[in-house]
Amino acid sequence: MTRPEPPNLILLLYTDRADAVTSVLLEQGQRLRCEVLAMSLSQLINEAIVGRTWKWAERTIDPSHTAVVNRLLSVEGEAAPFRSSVQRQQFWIWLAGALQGFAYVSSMPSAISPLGSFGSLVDQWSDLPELVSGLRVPNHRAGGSTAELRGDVYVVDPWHLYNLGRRAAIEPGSGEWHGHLAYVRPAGRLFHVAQVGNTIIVPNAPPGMRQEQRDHIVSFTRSMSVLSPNRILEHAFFEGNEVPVFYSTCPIPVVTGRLPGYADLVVTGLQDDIENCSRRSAARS
Amino acid sequence: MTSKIVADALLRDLSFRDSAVHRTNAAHAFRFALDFEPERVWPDLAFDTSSPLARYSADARDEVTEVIGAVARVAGTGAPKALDFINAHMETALICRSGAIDGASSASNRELVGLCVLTNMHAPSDRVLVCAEALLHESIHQYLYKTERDDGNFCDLSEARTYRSPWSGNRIPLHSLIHACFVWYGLLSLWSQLARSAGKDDELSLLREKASGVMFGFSFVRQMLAGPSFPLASVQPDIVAVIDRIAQIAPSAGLVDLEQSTLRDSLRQWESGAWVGRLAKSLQRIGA
Repeated sequence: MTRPEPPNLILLLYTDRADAVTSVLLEQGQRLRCEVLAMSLSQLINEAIVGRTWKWAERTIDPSHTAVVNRLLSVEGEAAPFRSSVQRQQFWIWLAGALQGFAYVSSMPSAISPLGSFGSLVDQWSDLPELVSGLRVPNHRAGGSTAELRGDVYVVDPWHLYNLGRRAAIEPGSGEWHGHLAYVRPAGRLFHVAQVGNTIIVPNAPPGMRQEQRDHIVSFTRSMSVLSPNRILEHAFFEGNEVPVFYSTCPIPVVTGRLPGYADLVVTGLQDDIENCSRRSAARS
Repeated sequence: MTSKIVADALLRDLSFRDSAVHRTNAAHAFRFALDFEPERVWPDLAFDTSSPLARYSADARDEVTEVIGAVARVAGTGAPKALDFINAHMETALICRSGAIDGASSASNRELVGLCVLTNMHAPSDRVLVCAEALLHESIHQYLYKTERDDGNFCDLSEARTYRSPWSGNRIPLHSLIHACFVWYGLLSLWSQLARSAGKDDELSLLREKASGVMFGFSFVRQMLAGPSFPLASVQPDIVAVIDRIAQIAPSAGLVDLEQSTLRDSLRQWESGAWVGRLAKSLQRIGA
């Protein structure tokens, strides 16, 4: 049995240099054990030949020996080089298929985002407790109905993963909350967990965080590492009374990406995750 | 339990490809009844179908009847198998209007096989294609209900969790999601068949947009089936196999050769819409 070699190239596909992951790889890519080749969305579309092997800038890229770090945050808006929704859809379809041929992909596109995602708060609060044993999410009601909710009730647009919404101050049934999600805000402050593969940091952990609460976070991130096609994530938790209460997970490190230690997390976590993926592939073959 | 024979028959019956396109002046018509004054209260709708408020005025009824007649002519000339399919499976369409629903909409119900509700079909600017989509969509549901009644359910109907449809973006029950895979496959077949005889650029443009949207959804179906939260064991294996086959071929059916050209050049070809006509032939591989 021949053991598959780990990828010898990391191909960074990006749309925004200010994205924390993109920024680390552009500025500190030399810290990784293999070369990082950065390709913007514009270069991908206008310059590369993307057949069975990719050709770009006088380089040949063999997908079977290349790890892709997908940082195509969005293909919408004026900056995106698409003339119509059909062009955007067909690119997105192509991307989802093409990335499957690579040895490692940091996140596979989903129907919701080219960067992949676990969907809205409704999706996350419905699906993740089924997958991650012991995960607590806020007590909530879809449709913005505050009926039957007791406590500090908030109403939020479920697609705004970085917004806690606002305190519900009007009577239930008001049309203002159509399409919104009502939830009881858990106790304690909000904190964030950055995860790359198996590696995590909790840079703004509550000062008095107990070991039980840390264990809960570690258990959650281990589960996510096993089940998630998105290898780079940022999770938000409320401190909670007993164990932390999950709020959201997002593939863009909006908060932790600006905090100390994030660059080290990306370098170490990505290196380990690519190698672990290679080992798992070897074990399967 | 759904057999492989039954599952394969779904692909065959939902393929509306016709090698001969019938551009004739023959009269094409639907055989189902139009009920403009339904007495039935349709379950699970945002308005009461039996209410006088949900009825069209006499003048407006003529307008909707004309739209449905135009659909019959379009289908009869461009996709005659689709016309036959609708006539075989639809018995009565309740025709309603309602401000409670944003734009045109349609509905079916497992307990009311042969019936559907068409709401606000006067509203869209491209009302003939929207109505064609609604009628075929709901006729496919009738066909699937009958198939399940005769040969067993495709999945566990008691599965209470919901899943996000890659086409509508809505969270829907498992049985609706499984039906959706076949509904969108049938619609993709319809759009690709109509594109073969589309005359005007704007007609082809609309068909291209509709086909692209369906292909987009199918490109994420395999990922969904393989996802950790999907209850694969709750779906009949031969149904999963057929859906997997559709999802494997449908998204790439319109792709152009990328070995020699950049994505920019390929996107221009996709924009032209010429691939929609070729799609019908590519889709044949699914049923082969």
